[in-house]
Amino acid sequence: MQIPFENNYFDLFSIEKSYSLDRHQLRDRFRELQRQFHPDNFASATEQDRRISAQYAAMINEAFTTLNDPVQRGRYMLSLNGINTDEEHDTRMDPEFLMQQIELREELDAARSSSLDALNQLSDKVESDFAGRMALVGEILDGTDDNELEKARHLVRELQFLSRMRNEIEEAEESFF
Amino acid sequence: MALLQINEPGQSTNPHEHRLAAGIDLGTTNSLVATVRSGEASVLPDEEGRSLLPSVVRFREKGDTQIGYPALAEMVNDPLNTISSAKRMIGRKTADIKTLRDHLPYHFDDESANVPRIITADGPRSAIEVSAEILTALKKRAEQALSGELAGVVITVPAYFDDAQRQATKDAARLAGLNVMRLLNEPTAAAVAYGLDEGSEGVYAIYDLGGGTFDISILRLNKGVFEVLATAGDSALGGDDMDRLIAEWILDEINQAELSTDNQFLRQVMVVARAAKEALTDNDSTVIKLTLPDGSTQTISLNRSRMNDIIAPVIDKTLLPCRRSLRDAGLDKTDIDGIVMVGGSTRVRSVQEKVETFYNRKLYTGVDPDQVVAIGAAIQADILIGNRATGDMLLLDVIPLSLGIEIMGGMVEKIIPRNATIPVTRAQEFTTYKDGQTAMSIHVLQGERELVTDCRSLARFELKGIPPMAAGSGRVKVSFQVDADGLLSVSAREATTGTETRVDVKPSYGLTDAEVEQMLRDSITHASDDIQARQLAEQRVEADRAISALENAMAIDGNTHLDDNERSALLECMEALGKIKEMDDADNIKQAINELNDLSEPFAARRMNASIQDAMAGHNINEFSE
Repeated sequence: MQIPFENNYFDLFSIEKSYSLDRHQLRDRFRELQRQFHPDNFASATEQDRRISAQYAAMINEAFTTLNDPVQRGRYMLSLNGINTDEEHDTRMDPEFLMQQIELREELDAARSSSLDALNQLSDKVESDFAGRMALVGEILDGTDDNELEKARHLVRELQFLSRMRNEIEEAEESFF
Repeated sequence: MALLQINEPGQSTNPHEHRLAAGIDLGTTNSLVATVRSGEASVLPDEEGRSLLPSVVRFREKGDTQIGYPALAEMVNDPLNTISSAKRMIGRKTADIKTLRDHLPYHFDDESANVPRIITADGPRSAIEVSAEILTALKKRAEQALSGELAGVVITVPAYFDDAQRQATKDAARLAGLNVMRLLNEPTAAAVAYGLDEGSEGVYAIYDLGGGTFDISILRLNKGVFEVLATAGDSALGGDDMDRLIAEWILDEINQAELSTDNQFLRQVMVVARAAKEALTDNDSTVIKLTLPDGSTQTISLNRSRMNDIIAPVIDKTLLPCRRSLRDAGLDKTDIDGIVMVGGSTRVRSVQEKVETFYNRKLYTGVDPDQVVAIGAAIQADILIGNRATGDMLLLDVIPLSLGIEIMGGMVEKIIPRNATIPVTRAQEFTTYKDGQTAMSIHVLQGERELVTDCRSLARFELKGIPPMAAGSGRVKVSFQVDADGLLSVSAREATTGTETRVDVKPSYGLTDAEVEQMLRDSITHASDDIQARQLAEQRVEADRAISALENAMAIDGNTHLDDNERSALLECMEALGKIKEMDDADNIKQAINELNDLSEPFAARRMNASIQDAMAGHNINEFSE
């Protein structure tokens, strides 16, 4: 059964709808809600109440995960504006960005076989690219100019690429230990 | 608050009635049971005052089974019938434990069997049955000490246990006749025991090295909420492996490598190896004495620094998961406020030294590392059974390994990533790949790798009845649900016709429900009318609970959330259940409860949603008035 809940995730946590949200406040509100709705609070209730509370607890977890992650938060806010960032439906990317990604990947392969230092340098570069794009996404999504939303969509897609690159760098770092 | 009132009827009818609950640490080497009495959690000792129960079971002819110390004492004399470390085999298929089996003296039955069984003097036994024997012994111990029947237990499992291992542990509990309220991750249990003692706030790493499993969990503690940020580990790494390395060294030293096929001798070497490891916790060196099969004796000495070198590979192997958990939590070593050391193997000095060096943080070793997990489980059990106010403490745990399904080309598409907070629900749509395809086979997997062959296969099922369409037009939505025990259920639904198939994932190589039932029937302690009487009693309690919960809910806000038709339908259904309940058919009662549940589900969901709206609104009002 689908649970009846029609508010958006920001409403759920009673926080302002904003890309540059206060993550501490989000976490506090998340904990408060789970204190009330987590199935452990219904351990001795009927099976039905336990099942329904588990559905709500899962939704609260999903909402928290979505808003807590910069890429997922961006995609979610775009979807609230009716913009789909689903990769299956949209494979167009800025050619210049794609070129940069290919270069980054080559650098990663080279760093993998050279040193931890090289990986750290690459990591710094990716982190700074990531932070820069996050700031831009925030400006657009928290601004008032809806014509910019298309640009935000591109930026969020790029954040997703960078986030994957970040994971790969970290995995490569593990092999040095 | 409205939400708590939903809760009331389900709690004990008499608010002063104390229901018996216990926490069980089902360990590789030792198991324990603990409970909360007068607000204090403590481990329950056996009649001789010993708190540990060695996780060893000796099967003898005609069901004369020995459990714990008596079995441990016979390990060397009767290696083939005396089973230890069952936890390393539970929930694993024959092929998975191939390497493990090479180190074990046991004879296994059919190589191709889904559930590996060890041949004993009392017939073949699976790790599930061995674990059930241990749980039964602990249940008996607790019920004697508390003079009453246990209403519910919390059983701990390694955080890194996969779905199959968790399911198998739950099956063992079912065989032992235990009502499992929760499978709790061991490091989380340890954090509870520490956290509530010391009222700490901050981020902690729980390093849990047991006899055969290793877990590392990173938790954030904040105002009674224990939030697991990430977990990692190795479900086949522990003190046993140290013992084995020391044993190999001993065989080498005495030039008796060829004796490594002599089961009895090998058991003796393992026993002295473990004793030497333990002795070197307090002493700088120790003397190892062995009696060879030819009756001669050998004496060798081992000092701590030599042992440290021998066991270093095991300890070093734990540091990779330590790094991975930090990365998954998005934290740096410097973000960690302290390390809680859990599990008997953390007594080894070089384990403590290496962990302290790695994190460069304070180690917490205050609570007995053998008892801390059982104590945390007892505290959680006390809360779940309803003996203390909810809201005192909340545990938010994660799933240790990613879950996904097989897609074209033998690849795995992940649906739920590792370290997602549970309970969690995720769905993904897949399309048909052939024209006129009318069925889709769904293969559920767990693990981090990209190829199906590198992941753990959990289940396979088929969704049939897809209307024939062009390739890519048939859309199937696959939903994964992981509950608060970390157990998965999967459903698949075809979009155009709504054809739905739902499975609770029962690993294909675990015990089937029918097998568990059969075992229950076969066991002497569960005579068949016994089971029937118990089922009838259980269903009656559940029926009473469902009726009183609904009556209560309707009295509170039936006016708000129900129209007249719905109300009269519910009343009618309740009355019917009330009548069926008086008859002696458990299955009928169960069916009537399900009917009532289905009918009242929208009402219950509307009430829960109203509570959420209240929680949101309450907060908004607070914010504005500040």
